[in-house]
Amino acid sequence: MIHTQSPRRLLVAAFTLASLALLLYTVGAPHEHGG
Amino acid sequence: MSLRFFLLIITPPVLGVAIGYLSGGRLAGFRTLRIRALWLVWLAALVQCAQYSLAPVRHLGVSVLALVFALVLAWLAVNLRSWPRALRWAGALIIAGAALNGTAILLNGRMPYDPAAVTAVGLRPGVETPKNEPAAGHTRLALLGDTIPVPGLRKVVSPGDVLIATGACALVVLTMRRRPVVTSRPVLQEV
Repeated sequence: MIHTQSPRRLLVAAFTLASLALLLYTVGAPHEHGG
Repeated sequence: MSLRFFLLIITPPVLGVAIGYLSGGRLAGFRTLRIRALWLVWLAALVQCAQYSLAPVRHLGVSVLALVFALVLAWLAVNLRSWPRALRWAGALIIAGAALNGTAILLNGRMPYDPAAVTAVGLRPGVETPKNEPAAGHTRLALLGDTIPVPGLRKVVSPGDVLIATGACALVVLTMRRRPVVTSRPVLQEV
């Protein structure tokens, strides 16, 4: 059996996913203020 | 950054993980892809954050936004050449979205938003931020601005944002569907 979900690998994946989330914050321009 | 804004920006990758699992992918797929220089994205986010929170930076206007865009595009340039074709398409979507947003910002100084769309999601029109301003008669290419209401999150997004979100989601799905390399025998690396 190949173990592919070690904590370190999950951390790497989580860091990458968090970085991709930042794309909408940086080059994206959603408007949210004025509530 | 509000909780709703946080939910908005994490939706594309989280949705990508969900679709990735539903289509038989695994997070282990991230082992198969070398994503370099992610610090460029974090640096861009830091500069963007500074523009929102530090008064001296806030007034620098479009030059700060240009730096933010340049950092993210540099990150894509560093990575795209080494990624397989399907992932390049996902990256191309992100670039196209950034180009649309960048064009609207460059032409207007800030990202214009449609006051009617803002009202539709329950926000008050007329507010200016370091990155957004209400569209008016003199606004150029207002269609590229924030015109698409997202009622559940009380946000208004642009066509460029939709492309960026789609590209980020696709990047996650396609990466998850890649199979990890097993050293004892050859395994196909492409999706």
